[in-house]
Amino acid sequence: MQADELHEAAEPFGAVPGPTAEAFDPVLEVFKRDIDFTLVERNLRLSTEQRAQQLVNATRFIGRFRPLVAESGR
Amino acid sequence: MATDFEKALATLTGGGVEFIVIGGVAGTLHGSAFITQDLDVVYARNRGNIHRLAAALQPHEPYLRGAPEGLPFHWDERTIRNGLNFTLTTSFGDLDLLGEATGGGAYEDLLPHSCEVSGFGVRFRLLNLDKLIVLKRAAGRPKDLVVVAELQGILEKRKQPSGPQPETH
Repeated sequence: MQADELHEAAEPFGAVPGPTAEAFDPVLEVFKRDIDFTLVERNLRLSTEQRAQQLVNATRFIGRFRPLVAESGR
Repeated sequence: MATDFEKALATLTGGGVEFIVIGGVAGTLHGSAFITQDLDVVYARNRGNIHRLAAALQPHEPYLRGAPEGLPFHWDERTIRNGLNFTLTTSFGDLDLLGEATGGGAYEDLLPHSCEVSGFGVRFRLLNLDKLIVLKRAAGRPKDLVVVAELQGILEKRKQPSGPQPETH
């Protein structure tokens, strides 16, 4: 193998050749059975901005109520 | 402390930092129903970007997450140059800055697999769904299995001709 070919064949540092996004994995198929895809389908009907806003709202909710829950458990 | 994603992204974009959003926030923006609590980004390690990254975060008191208090940690260009991946706490919450992501490489390697999106009040680059799944699979963490399964399901739904389509606004 020539030096140029070696250079072309080299993976970027940190890149571990692994499965593609769609590669079948029986373990993942088992996990898929328990996922509520109705929530996903609802999210997929939203725009990216709406999904972002949903995350912001959820994070604010958690931020507001977590201290109260922690306090009530004392 | 819950991360203020709007503030975090406004800080990075306002400071002119070149970065790509990966991790849980990227999953959410692709339609995942899982809630994440930190922001993961891959940043460019060129000299100019390291300068901008240091300056943008400096006012937000970045510190190593989980490290004991009082360590001589100074957030500046030298620290960034001498390090690579940083898991930080800041005044706006938790921020993971990756110089390189397992399975994906550096910013320049991921750039062709990203697109610009609007969200959290700003525009920024987001890793595409295929590459996000590849990264999570490469990380090989048991806790990611259910997330990868969901993301793969999203990919399958997107490819169905009659699958859910985003509303236009």
